[in-house]
Amino acid sequence: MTQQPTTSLGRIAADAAARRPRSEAPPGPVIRVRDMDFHYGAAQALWDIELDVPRGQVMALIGPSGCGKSTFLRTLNRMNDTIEGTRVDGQVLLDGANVNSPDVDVVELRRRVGMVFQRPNPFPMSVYDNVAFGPRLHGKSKKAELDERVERCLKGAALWDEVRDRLKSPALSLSGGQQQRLCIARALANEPEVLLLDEPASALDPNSTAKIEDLIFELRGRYTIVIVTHNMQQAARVSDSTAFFLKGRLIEVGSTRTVFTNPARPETEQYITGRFG
Amino acid sequence: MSRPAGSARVDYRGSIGSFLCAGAVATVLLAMVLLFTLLLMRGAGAFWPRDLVEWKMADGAVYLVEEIETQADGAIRARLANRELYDLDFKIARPEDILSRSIPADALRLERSENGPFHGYLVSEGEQSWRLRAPDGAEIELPAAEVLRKSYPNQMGLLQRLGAWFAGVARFVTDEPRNANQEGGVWPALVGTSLLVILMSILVVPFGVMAALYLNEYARDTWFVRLVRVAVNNLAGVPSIVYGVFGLGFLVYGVGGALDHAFFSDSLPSPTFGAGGVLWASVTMALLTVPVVVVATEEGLRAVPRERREAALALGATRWEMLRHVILPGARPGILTGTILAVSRAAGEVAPLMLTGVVGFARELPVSGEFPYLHLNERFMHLGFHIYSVGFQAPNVEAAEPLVYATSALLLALVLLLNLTAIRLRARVRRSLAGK
Amino acid sequence: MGPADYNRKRATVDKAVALLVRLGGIGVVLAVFFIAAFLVMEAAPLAAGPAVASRGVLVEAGRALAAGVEPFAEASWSLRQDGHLQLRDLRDGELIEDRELFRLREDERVAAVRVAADQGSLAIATTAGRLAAAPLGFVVDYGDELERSHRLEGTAPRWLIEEGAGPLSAFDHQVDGPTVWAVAAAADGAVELIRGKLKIDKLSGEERISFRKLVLEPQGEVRDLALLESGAFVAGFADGSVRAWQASRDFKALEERGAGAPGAPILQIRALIGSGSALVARDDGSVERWMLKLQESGHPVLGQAAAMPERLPGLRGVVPSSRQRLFFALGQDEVWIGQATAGEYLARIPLPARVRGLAVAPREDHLLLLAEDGSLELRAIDLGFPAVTAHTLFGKVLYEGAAEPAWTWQSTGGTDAYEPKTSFVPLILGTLKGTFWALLPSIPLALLGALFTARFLRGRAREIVKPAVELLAGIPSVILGFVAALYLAPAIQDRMLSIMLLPIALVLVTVALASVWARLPLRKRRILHEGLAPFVLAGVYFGIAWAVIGAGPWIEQTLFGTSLRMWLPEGLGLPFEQRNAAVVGLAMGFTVTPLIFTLAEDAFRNVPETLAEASQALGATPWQTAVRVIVPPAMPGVVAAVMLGLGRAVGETMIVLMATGNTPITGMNLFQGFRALSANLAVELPEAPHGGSLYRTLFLSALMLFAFTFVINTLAEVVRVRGRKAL
Repeated sequence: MTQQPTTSLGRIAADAAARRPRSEAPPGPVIRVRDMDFHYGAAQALWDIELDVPRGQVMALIGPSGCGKSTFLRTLNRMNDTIEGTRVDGQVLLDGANVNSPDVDVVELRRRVGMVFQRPNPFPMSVYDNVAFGPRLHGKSKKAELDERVERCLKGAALWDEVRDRLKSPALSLSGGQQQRLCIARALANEPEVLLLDEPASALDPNSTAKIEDLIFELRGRYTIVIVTHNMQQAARVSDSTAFFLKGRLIEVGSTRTVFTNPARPETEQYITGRFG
Repeated sequence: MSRPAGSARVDYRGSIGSFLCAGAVATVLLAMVLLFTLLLMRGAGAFWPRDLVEWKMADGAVYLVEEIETQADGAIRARLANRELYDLDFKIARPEDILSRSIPADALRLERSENGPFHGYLVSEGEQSWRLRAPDGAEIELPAAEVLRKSYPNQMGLLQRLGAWFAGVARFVTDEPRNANQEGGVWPALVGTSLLVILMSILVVPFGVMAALYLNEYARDTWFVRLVRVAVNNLAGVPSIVYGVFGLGFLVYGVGGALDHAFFSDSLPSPTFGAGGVLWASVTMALLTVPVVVVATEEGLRAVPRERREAALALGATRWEMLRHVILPGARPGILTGTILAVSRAAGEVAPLMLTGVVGFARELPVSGEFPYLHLNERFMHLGFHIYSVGFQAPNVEAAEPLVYATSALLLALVLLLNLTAIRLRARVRRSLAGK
Repeated sequence: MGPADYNRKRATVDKAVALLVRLGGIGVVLAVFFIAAFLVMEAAPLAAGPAVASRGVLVEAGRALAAGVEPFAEASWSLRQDGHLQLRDLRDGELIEDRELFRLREDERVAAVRVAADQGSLAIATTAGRLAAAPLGFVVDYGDELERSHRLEGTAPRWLIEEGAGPLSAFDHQVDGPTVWAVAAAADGAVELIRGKLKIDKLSGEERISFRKLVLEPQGEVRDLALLESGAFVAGFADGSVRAWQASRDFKALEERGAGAPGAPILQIRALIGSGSALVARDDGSVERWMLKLQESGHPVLGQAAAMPERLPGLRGVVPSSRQRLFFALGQDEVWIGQATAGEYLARIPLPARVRGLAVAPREDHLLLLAEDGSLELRAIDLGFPAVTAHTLFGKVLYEGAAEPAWTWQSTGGTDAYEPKTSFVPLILGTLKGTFWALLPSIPLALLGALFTARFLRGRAREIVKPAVELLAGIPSVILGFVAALYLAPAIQDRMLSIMLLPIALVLVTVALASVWARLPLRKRRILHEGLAPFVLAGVYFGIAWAVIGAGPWIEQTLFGTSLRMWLPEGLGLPFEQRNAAVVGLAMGFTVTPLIFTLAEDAFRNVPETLAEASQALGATPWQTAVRVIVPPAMPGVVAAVMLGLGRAVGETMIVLMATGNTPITGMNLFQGFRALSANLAVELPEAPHGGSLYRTLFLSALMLFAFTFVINTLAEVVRVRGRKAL
């Protein structure tokens, strides 16, 4: 703790850590990944992943393009099921239960583990219907209840003030940044325990990116968040812990501050100092 | 062509090449415009009240005719009417054989239930019978019941003629045919076509969409499924008459025959479902148009961005919920395009119907007020087949020609309207596909 | 309901829908493939050969000279030497009826019996040399339970030779409406042709028959005789020669109608159904079909139509079928089923050695075997569809009445005895002819137009042209057929030359305009790139077309001194029909051109814009870019487009049905019509009896259409996909 940050990234991480409340007890992991391999058909994409995601914290996954971080993210809510010929070996445990076990209801899993994608992908319906989509699927259809939840989630996604007067207008008429926050609101409406963000700001302008980052900061604590990002400043700003992937392997994981200031592995250091990637 | 003007070389080859290409486009467009003009003009012209012209011929004969056209050799072709007086419906005369042409104001045109129209003059209009004078002066008595409508076309102004034209078109669409289909309207053919198209849509849309959903969403992308997709695509190119052959052999004789033995054995050997009828024709048409619906629906399904599917799944939707709430609404323009194209195909296709139950003249409509209201085993009339049967099998094809043109124009207008809608919808689907 | 229950319900719905969609989807796919399977199923029985049951019903009938069965094959008749006709129930062997049909004199016996090919009558010759004929008819009575019982129809024999001069060596008879024909050879070699005409006295209602006879004394020993149509007969001699005579029209003389060279001695001659031709069987086991062929002189001359390719050892006789040109050749211990039209044996069936004769049931569903000991055996037989073989479908066949073997399609005729002519060749040629004349103008027009639309037109102009062409593709073909037949055909029959000159004139004018254009200053040349050129040209073309069509008749007069349509038959001997291939080609152009156009346009447009830009950056003109950079990679798509156009033209039905005369001819003459496979189906299938030979033949032709278009389309798809991958 006494060590001085050596890089600018380290400084950012240290500042961010300083801004966070410190009171909580060290949380137990909500997701534990053990000895996981992943294949696309004959091609292996992930090797021997061992990772714990602490409850209520923000974990950033970083690494060069094609290193498997998005693939890893999608194993957490089994989105890879939608791609033919994929195979997962090893264990992904959510609250101790293996998500790949055949008696896990994937629909329920995805309600508990929400996901937001790289590009905003609202449905071509109204703002309201977008947010209400998940709750309706899961059997919430009372109007008052829905109204309340839509408002809460839009507020939670810091969008309420901007859209409160046009809940019935088409979601596609919103700006890109608003659309992405709507997608986050939509994910929140399912009351998930974990929120997976797959490069949520990469398609947005800097202003919108800042808003998304603020939002992640706001959501921290209430939700466990795993965010894939290309942007190391972003990782340093928003995350508590960081995992570095390279060529399908998890190279290093630790508190964001440690990873950025004092990486244990030379590859990590090379990456964050910008020597490749 | 884009060489600087200062360069001495003149690009003949390029100029000729691009001109020939432009000429090809020009030819296609010109041919299309001429065809449409011919059909629409002649079709619409069938109802325009023409002047009745009195011809005094060099040989002493007097005719009262509607002049139709001047032929290439200069002779005038004219409609004679008064079928009971003349052997021919048309008179072709060289101008020098006509001593005088005049337009008598009191010339009368009657539409009758027998012998086609009458041209002449009214003497007296009685309760029981009308006394008329033929163009050559002879007096004729006509039972009043045979008179359908009288008009004095030579006294009509433009507005009156326009009114008469609209009335004529309306009667054409809503009247029963008369006189071996050579006169009257096409109402039963219109009803038959609509019923065929509706029954076909009820069959083809759900099944076509299901097949597209299966191929696109449920089946794994193996070589077999790819092969099936290619095959289904290609079935759109199989000649329609082959579907007709199948309809006759399998549906009419096979399934229909079996139904007759099982449920209608009392009336055998006269067939109930074992003969052509609107049901079998609709099923045949549905088979014929399944590829159209499948292809268009698949296009529509592919137009829905992948991100939207993932979003729905990530929110915990089951596959069906994803399809129902996100994919199918997005694919709706594609499905609609397919449906419209299928309808337009079925409205215009004739060959398979000739084997599965269309007739030139049906005494009864396949829909009626009598139980069971919808008579699926009845033979039916169809606009397209009407063109064939009246144009080729009517006792007097020449006399029926104006009505065939009118029927063609009506069918063409319907099909063009449908296709135009489909083309616009499809353009929308393609734009969203391209924008993806 | 807890969330777990709710989720279970959702999962159930999801599974149910998945099942439904799978079933529905696979069902649709299968249904569509079932079409092909069904066509095969319906056509396949054509290929199956005849089948005969290995055993059947045995009845004791006593010695009989001839026997046969009634139409239901439930009773058999037999004619005994004493002139008695007996009817026996084959179900229980009981004798139903015994009638003295021919009243013979004392010591007179029936020497020989001959049953007509249609089994409607039989004739006997007696030991005294007398000749009589009698109709052969049966009556069916239905009992309370609809069970059938049979009896003989009451008929009177008619003596054709009342007084004989000794036994006859050969004879034949024929009943043709009110006329009875007979021909008989006496032992001394004289041959007598007898014609009996039945007249009913209008007052008394009495039947009277008047006979006329012609006698002939040929050289040689007559072995057998057979009557053909209209007073002609064929005689076979011991030296193997076959000769024919015919009564003159006034029945005053016998005229010789040709002869065949000597060969193996004649065993039997039997007229085939309809008496258009006769089977000649020889002692060496060979069977031939002979008939009178119409010569150009107008006289028929005897000639051999077909020879069966194999010899049947121990041939004892031939029995012609009563329904079609089929016969059963009886050998020592087997019977061969022969197809006389095609000249081939379809099947050979082993028989018990004691069989000495056979008869075929009128419905051809049973064979009746006559054994030496007088017993009869009835065996079920399924002939299949013997009239249709690969040879009759695709080979040249010499049909009755024709002079030369030919490919002919004429499936039905006026009488039951009609010889069906079902060659696919004229139909296939007709289809190819229509396709050729449709593609000839369509391909250049569509491809050039597509290239221009995809690569030269911009903006609004393209937004007009493409949908316009698609609209054109959607016109119902019945409308095009109607316009072609009732407007185009009469309108252009006097302007055929104009129609042929018009494309040439248009190309020349275009080339001329383009050459002038190329010399114009650049800034005046903008309209080509603003997409206006086609619209301007369309106006120009309209004017040219108007002029050329107007001038056509005048040019024809100047060149030929008459119109082309008169000159062709008179000057060149080429037939001219109003509804001809040129009309079809024009009308089909309206459906084929837009199809090829839209597909080729897609192909041209799918070539990336970057290629064109690169080419133009290197200084290539737009035309050079189009030809050298755009066309080559687009070629697979273009080929696919043309193939799909071909498939469309092959299957088009209504236009060819309406705009041609539908005569199945084989020539490629532009000024004659044709009959296509597709139109043939539309015309003939509704009238074809379900499950019959013609019905299945038509299904086979539908299968051919299906297979051809399916293969063409699949090839096109393969070519297209390969091409796209290469891009």
